[in-house]
Formats: sequence, structure tokens, C-alpha cells
Amino acid sequence: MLPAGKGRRAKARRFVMNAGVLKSGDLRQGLLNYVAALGLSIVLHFAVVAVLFYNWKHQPEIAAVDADPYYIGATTVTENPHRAREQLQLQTSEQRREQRLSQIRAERAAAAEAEALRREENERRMVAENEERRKQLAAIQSQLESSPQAEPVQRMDTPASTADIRQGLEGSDEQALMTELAERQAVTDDEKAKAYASQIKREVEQMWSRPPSARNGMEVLLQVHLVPTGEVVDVHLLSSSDNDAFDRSAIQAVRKADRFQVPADSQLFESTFRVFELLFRPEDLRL
Amino acid sequence: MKRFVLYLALLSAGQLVFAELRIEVTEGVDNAVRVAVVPFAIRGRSVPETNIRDVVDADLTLSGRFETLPIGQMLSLPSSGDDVFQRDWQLLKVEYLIMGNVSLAEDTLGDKAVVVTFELYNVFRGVVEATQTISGSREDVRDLAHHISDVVFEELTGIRGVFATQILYVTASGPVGDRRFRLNVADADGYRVQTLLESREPIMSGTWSPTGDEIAYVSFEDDGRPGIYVLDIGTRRSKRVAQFEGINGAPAFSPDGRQLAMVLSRGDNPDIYILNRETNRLRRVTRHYLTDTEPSWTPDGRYIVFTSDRGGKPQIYQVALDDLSLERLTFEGDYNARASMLPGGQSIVMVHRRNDVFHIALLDLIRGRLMVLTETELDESPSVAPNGSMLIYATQERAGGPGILAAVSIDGGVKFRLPSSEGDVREPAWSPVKRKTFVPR
Repeated sequence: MLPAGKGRRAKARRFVMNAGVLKSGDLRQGLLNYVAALGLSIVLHFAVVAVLFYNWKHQPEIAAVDADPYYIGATTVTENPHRAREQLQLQTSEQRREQRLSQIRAERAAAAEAEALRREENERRMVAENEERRKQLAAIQSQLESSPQAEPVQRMDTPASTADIRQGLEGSDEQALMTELAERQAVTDDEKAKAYASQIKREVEQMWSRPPSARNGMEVLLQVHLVPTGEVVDVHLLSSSDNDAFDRSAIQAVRKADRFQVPADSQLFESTFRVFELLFRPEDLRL
Repeated sequence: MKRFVLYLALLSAGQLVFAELRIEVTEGVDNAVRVAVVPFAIRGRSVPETNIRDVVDADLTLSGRFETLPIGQMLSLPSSGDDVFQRDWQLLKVEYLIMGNVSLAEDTLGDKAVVVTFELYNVFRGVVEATQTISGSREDVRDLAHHISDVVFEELTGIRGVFATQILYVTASGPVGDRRFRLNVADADGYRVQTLLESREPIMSGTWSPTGDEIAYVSFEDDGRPGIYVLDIGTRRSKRVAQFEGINGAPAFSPDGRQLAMVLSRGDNPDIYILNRETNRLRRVTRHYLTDTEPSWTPDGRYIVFTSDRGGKPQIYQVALDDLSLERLTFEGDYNARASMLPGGQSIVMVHRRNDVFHIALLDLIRGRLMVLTETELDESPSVAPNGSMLIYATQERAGGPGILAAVSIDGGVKFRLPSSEGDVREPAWSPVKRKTFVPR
């Protein structure tokens, strides 16, 4: 027990001594560090100040201002905001149309070319065949030497020349082509409008909760006003069913739908969907 | 059948302008309308015991036409249109708000009166569609709430509400041999049950007078002999009006309340008679050797519709009261009975047997179309609500089980059951008038 306690005390003393030694060395080191840090910070401060002064010096001097201040010249223009898009669309559609036209034309030309080629081929073959036959006939004739009429069956009906074919094609088909294209365009617009309209119908149907006083054959006609984003801005009652609850249910259905999908094509939107009529006439009620 | 009609020429390349689109909507989903009944603001300290908001909420839900928003989902609790943030409610897909405030005020007699102001607010249009201020005593709070439900229902459906009406029915309880029969009346939502009559002998065929202050019924209380009685609800006094030999049954008040149609056999086979309540004179309306029973008046009071076996099977007939000429009304099926005419006089509801199952059916007399309304079995005693859009009937929860009441809308769209804790429930009769009416200030 005792030696152990002695040992511990001795260890403690040595530790204290060691600490004293360490302390004096640390102090010197710390002082050095401190001086170094101080020096560095002073240098940095000077550097910052120097940079500042340097920048100030290089600030641009006030130059003589032009007499005219900068302004935006605004003039009232009756510009449709959709004009640009429309024009672009028109242009692209024109281009597309042109493209399609030329494509069709090219197709037709190619077809005509092929036809002509085929015909030429046919002709050539026929000529060759005829030639062959004639040769054979001639051979037979010469062999037999009986018939005085040596002339064989001539080329029976000559097909029209390729030039003729092309001419005919272009003359008659150019117009047909145009009308066909116009029709196709109309059909797509019509179909597009129908598709959007049926979508609107579906959405309204889903929102339409009819009151129990509703009867088959009741009619409410509403006029719906949309903005190009498809939002409903106004609903007018054009003709009433004489049942307030029924009228209200129809108006509420449109209000609840809140927003419809409308065509991005602003021409189609303006002509068909900016203002449209909605007729509510239930047919599936049990009473 | 999806039909899509575009009336006006849509687009064709040349004629883009002035073509206005018309879309025709012919179908709907008939979803319940989403409403929120906001807790009513309380002005002053004394709070009425019954929560008006909860009663209105339950009424609208029970009607099957509305879906209500739980309070927990409400983002705000406005009490008038000025406090409403439309967008909040639109996001919750709520179409209408019912809100208001309750306060206590002294009435002319110095009693405390409950004053309720309510608004029906259209969230999508941002307008108040209806508003009223009504008042009543503390006992009337439920009636005030039913009144609010009625106003809202009528405004939104175009049909008079029946939340403030009552239902009369008969119950039988207790073991066989010691059965108790009761004639009860309750609010249309099943609350506030009152027993008008209690007896050890069966009570049958309870029916309301047109003003709703008298009830006619059949009772066997006099030594087990059937008699027809009229009960005054105000005084709770019963008066026997008919007790002839044999069958006395199926009383029905005329629309003016001055006559009472009934079935009497008078020792022979049952026929329809009319008792004039002022002169106490009896008039025989039908005469046939087979049974005529279950009379009910047409709304104009000029005809009586009844069930008769004269064709071999029970069918519905109609007798004109001026010249007693007869007309058969039903031809479909081999069992049609217990008919009553709807307020419009254009159709009747009745019990109709199809594939050996008894259903409640609606017969359109003009178009001759029969429509089965119920899917339950052993349905009996249909009684039409005063607004003509609902009917209540007795049925069984399961074959051989206790009788319960169930209700169905005339278009067949809404069905619900009213389970009872009172044993067998039979013969419901919907009251023709409201329990209490309030005049808005």
C-alpha cells in the first residue's frame, strides 16, 4: 500500500515539473506565433486598403452626358398580341402546305415518270416483240415464199408520248390538288373543334349534378365566355327552364369545371371557343 | 347512349367567322352536391342545448342529395358571406355554404327566444342565394334547424323539403302473448319519438288528416272487435267513428278532411264506404262479391283508388265519386295493391309483386310505365312524403326478421333505411304538414 502511494506522489511531482518546463517553452513559441499573426494581419489590412484605393482611382470619371436621355418610344398600335404567333402559325402552315403540295407534286411526278418509263418499256418490249414476230414471219415468208403480202401486223396502237402524259397530268391535277388540300385542312380543323367540344361536354357532364326536380326534356341554354387560357370568365343564362334549381345546377356545372381545354390555335379559339353556347337537356333521367 | 350534337356548322375552311358553337349536354352524374354546414356563431352566453349545425348537417346528408364537409376539414368558420374566402372552399370542392349565428333575445312575453340568422352562400358565384332570420323558443331548436334544412333543400333542388315533417308508425314489442302495440310519431329524421297510444290489442292503419292534427286508426281495443277511431293529437282524445259487424278497416281522410273513406264488410264481403264526418252518414261506393279494400283519395278528391280482387287477382281500380264509374288502372303483374296517388295525380305508388317478391313500384298513369323502386323484399305500406319526392315503406331487414322502415326517392336514386330499436315497426305514414312553421322576420 505504502510504496504504491509513494510512487504515485513521485509521479505527480514529475508531472508538475514537466508542466513547468513545457510552460516556459510554450510561452516563447506563443510569442513568436503572435508576432507572426500580427504582422500578417497588418499586411493584409494594408493590402485591402491598397486594393480599395486602387479601385477608387480607377473609377470612371463622369463623362459628358448626351443631350437625349434614354427612352422607349411608345406609340399606340392596334396590335393583336396573338398576331405574331398567328403569323408564325400561318407561315408554318403555309410552308407546310407548300411542302405537302410539292411533296404531292413530286409524288405525282414520280408516279407519272414511272408510268411513262413503264410505258416506254412496254413500248420497247412491244416493238421488240413485233420486230421478233416480224422477223419470224419474214423467216416463215421467206421459207414458204407463198404470200405476197409480206408486211406483218404493224404496231397497233401507239401509246401517247411521255411528254403528253406529263402535260395532261399537270393541267388537270393542279386544281384538284389544291381543293383536296383545302378540304383536308378543313376536315382537320372541324375535327379538332369537335374533339375539343366533346371534351368540354364530358367535363361539364361530370360536374353536372341535377336536382331531383329535373325532368327529361327540360332545357337551359347558357352562353359561356372563355379566355384563351380556357378559363371560364362569364356564364350567361340565355333561356331558362323555369326551374330555378335546374338553371342553377347547369350554371354551377360550368362554374365548377372552371377551366376547359381549348385549342392553342388562336384562330380556332377565337372563332369557336371564345363564346359558345351550352344546351342542357337531360335525356337519361328516370322521370 | 352518348349523343353528341353540334348544332351550328362548325368550321369549314371558308366560313370561320360568326359560327357560334353549341354543345348539348344530355347526361349528368347526379353526384351529391357538396355543401359545408359551418358551425353557427354564438352571440351571447347562453348556448342552446341542441347544436343547430349538426341537425342541419344530418338532415342534408339523410336526404341523399348532399354530401357535407366534416368540420375538421374546414379551413375557416365564417358566419356570413363577408367572411368567406371563396378560394379556400373552391379548393375543397364545396359548392354551397350554410352558415349563420344564434343568439338569445327576450320575446314579447319576456321569455327567452332563440334567434337564428342563416345564409346559403354560393361559393362559385360568390353570392348569398338565400338568407332568413327566424326565432322560436328553446324547445323549438330542432324545428328551427329543420326549417333551415327545408329552405336550403328547396332552394337547391326545387322541391319542398320534408325535414320538418313527422312520421307515424306502429310498433309491436314484447314476447308473443304479451305483446305491446304502440302508435308512435317521430320527426322525419327519427328523433323525438312520442307514443300516442299504447295497447295490448293490435293497432293498425294509422293515417293523418290533411291538416295533420288528427289521426285515424283501427284498433281492436273493444273486446277484440275492430273499430275505426279518430285521435285528436292536441287533446290526445280518441273517438270511435265506426264499428260495424265484421271488418272495419283502412280509413283514409278526404283531401278536405270532411270525409273518411273506409272498408266495411257489414257481415258481407268488404266494400268501400265513405263516412261524412259532419252528417255522420255513410255512403257505399263499391259493390262487388269479391274484396274491395285499401281506399285512397286522388288529390282532387273526385276519385277513390282502391285494390280489388274482382279481376281474379288483386289489381288497382279507380272509382269516380260523382257517377261511381269504374276504371282499372293496373295490368302488369298478378299482384298490385295498396295504391296511393302522388300529388301531381299523374302516377301512383303501390306494392307490386314481381318474381314472387313484393316491391314498391311507381306507375306512370300517363305513359303507362311501371318502375320498381325498391330492392328489398316483402315491402308493404308505402306512404308518400308531402313533397311527392320520397316515400317511406315497411320492409324486413332479412326474411323473417323484424319489420323496419325504409325510404326511397320517387326517381329511385336515393334509398335509406331507418333501423329501429323498438322491435317490429310497421305501417309508416308520412305527415302532410310540418310540425312547426316559422315566419321569417
